[in-house]
Amino acid sequence: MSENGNLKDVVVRIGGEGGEGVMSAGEILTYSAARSSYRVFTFRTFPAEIKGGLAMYQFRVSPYDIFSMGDKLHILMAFNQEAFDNYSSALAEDGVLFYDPAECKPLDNFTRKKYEVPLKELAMASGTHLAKNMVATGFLSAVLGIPIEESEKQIADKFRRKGEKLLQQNLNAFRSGVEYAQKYLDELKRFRLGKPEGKDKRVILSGNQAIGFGAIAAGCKVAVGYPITPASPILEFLARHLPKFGGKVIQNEDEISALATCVGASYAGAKVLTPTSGPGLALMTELITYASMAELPVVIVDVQRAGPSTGMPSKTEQTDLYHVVFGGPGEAPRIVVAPAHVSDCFYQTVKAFNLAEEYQMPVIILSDQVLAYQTEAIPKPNLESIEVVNRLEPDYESQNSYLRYKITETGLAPIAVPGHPGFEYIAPGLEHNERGAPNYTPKVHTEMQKKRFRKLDVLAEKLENENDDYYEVKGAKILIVAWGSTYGAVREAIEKAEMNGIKVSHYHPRILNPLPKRKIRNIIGNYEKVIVVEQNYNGQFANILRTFVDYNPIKLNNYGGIPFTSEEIYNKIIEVAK
Amino acid sequence: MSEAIEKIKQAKLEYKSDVKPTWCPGCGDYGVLASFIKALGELKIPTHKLSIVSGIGCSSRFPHFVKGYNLHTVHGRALPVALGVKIANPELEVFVIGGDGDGFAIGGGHIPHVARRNPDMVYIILDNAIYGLTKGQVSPTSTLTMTTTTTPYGALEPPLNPIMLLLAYGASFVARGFSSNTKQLTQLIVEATRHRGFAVIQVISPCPTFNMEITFDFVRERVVEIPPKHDPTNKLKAFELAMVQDKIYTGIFYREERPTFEGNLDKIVSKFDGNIDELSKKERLEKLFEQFA
Ligand SMILES: Cc1ncc(C[n+]2csc(CCOP(=O)(O)OP(=O)(O)O)c2C)c(N)n1
Ligand code: SF4
Ligand SMILES: [Mg+2]
Repeated sequence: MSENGNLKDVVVRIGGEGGEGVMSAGEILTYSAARSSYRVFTFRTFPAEIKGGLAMYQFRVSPYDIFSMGDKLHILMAFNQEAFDNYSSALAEDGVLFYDPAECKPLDNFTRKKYEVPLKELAMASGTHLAKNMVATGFLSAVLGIPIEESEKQIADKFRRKGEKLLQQNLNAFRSGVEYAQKYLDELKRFRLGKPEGKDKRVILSGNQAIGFGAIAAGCKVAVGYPITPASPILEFLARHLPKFGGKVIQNEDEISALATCVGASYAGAKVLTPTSGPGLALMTELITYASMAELPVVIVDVQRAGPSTGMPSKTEQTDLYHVVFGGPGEAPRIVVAPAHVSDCFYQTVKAFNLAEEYQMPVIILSDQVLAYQTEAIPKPNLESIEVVNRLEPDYESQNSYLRYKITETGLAPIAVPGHPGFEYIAPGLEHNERGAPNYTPKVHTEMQKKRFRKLDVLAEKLENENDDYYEVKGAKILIVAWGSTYGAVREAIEKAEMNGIKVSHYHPRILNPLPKRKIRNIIGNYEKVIVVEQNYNGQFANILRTFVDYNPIKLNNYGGIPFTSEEIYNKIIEVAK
Repeated sequence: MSEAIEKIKQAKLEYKSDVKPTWCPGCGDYGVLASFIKALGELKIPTHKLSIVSGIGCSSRFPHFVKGYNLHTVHGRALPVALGVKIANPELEVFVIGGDGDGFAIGGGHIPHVARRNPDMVYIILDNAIYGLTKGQVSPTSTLTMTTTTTPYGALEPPLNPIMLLLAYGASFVARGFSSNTKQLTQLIVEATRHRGFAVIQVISPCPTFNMEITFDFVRERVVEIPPKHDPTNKLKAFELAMVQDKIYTGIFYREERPTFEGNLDKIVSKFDGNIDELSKKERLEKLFEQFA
């Protein structure tokens, strides 16, 4: 609570039947808030079908900086009974329910405050029952104090194409929602948001879109994919925008061919990306090791979803770590990058392309369902601040015979781009000598394995001296180690602990393979307790730490399909601190 | 620069790489290699503009034996890899070379999609109706009842008909050759390369080591050139020829002119004037950010 008794931030969930416009209501509210400089986080789940099934849109909005989608709900807007039945238990002690009396009857044992909002009735009165979501949008705009003009502008943008009549009906519905809220406003004044801090330029992006932007900024020229939830929006974003930057985008017949086409394009000199999720990644495994063997740069985005097998496609997990670090025939070096939040998705994608070009191997970006769909109002990425790396090519004037796979101290040798006379070479999947010709002798295989893995050693050595992923708190006895999208929940849990007098440091590596082992040992050595927080059953990163730095941390795991709340992490900190 | 030109001139003459073929003596694939190199010379394709892509198999060793910017990839995936090479650099002359198992079994899912896209490349299938590299297992073009190491009691599946498939999938140039008829095969490769679009040649290339049924003699007895009166733009007639079982027709079954995939992709880029300089790209990216603000 802030000084005047208002909430510092408000967590709102809208639930209804898929096809009832839950998503567009949420989007209008969040975009309006973000355009008015509020900080916004969103989280959504779709039913698997286009129409039918329960859909929900959750957002957290605050005038101050926030890091996660928040824990308990302050407001639930239920379009129907199913939304009430499924979500009412997520309400905080002092949370409130808004519901449409025509579609939903709260159970008798429901003890929170509840308010009727006749969505359907008001929508009909404005001309179409389809505008229920606009009534809800208007109502919530008024309760939260999100500028009405912004929301109206959004509605106008959305419906203008669909005709004047529909636009008017929706605007009317929105206004009737605003109007209806007036009678509760006094009672609900603690939900009214304060004036936002700062006025820096923000863009509203999902993790998927931020990855798309990162790819464009890094100079991606070919993107190929096969649709899969939750990665398809990356391919869709690039299909729309990459050609404007000279790029080509294809939907291929499967994930094997998607990576295959990327590998071919990379050989021909292009920067390439393929987005997928666990099941697609599984199909790509053989070619990942080919790219590693032939030493070709490729960027693969794995937007993790809950498995195994088809699992729960619209739910989240961090379960592909073992697969991306170790998976595939033989031992093939690759780099794994895990962005922590939406803004990071942009910068880590640029980094992933740079690393692929520099180290001539596959780089896998590990995102997940939450990060993919979470939209955040982030400071506009600074294009001037980013460095773009291109592969090292040979001196084409040189008369020396070209050895593509020359054994060097760093393991790296220049890559010739096709079209240059005298530098023809074959990209082999077979073990090969320095020229690329097949060679199966023990000596060559041993030397070549060393050469390929040496590239990872060079990178790991660089990472030993980078410290921007370590958030040290002086005097802390507890360290949390986490990776990927758990970042926000960890940050907020640490803040809460700090307010309660417990100091906690945080190490959130962005590169998960290779690892800077000395640095990690040093960090870990400073703490009495180390907790590894991750969304999987096994504690995959914890076990990797055990293997590579010989340390056995405390594990905090969650594998139900929904993201960690800061509360869960906070509770673990309290438990460990005792 | 004159040095570079000198290099190009030499390259034309020296297609053979210094890796010697490892095929068994008498393997049909030697005839295909000879025809291929002859065709390259006739087409005057410089090696730095040449890209041969293959999967895995005896036949897929091909790109090791010819100089070029080549890729020896994984089993069954040569076609989509080659597609990537072509779209990233349409200037390259791209060839895909591989076996019947590589193309029609493990890689069978890729042919229809590459065919309907029609990239300007040549796909040469060295069909020995057997798995050579893995030592004699049944292949999708092995004959019904053929005994192989994995069908000791005879194959239960009738062979598929590659020419019919290719026609149905929409390959824009479909031909068949025989590895022993290098003169005809060279001409087919030249024609296929000159064709703008996805050109496929099924080459009957016997494996004397593992296929005791589809032998050189067996093929020689049945092989017949497609009659000169055949109109290769007539798809129905092409299907009719492809259905003939007792003879093995060689020559061009079908050809049609269609826009290429890489051309169509380039059109999208040109529509947006996408090939602008780096500075303009930055400005454009800033504008794109505005759309999300
Ligand atoms: C994924 C995978 N499965 C199986 C193999 C083993 N393998 C290598 S070549 C081959 C079949 C080769 O037959 P074909 O493509 O007809 O080529 P040929 O040797 O007859 O020229 C098989 C099954 C492999 N290399 N990779
Ligand atoms: S096994 Fe057959 S296909 Fe392979 S090289 Fe020998 S003869 Fe040729
Ligand atoms: Mg074969």
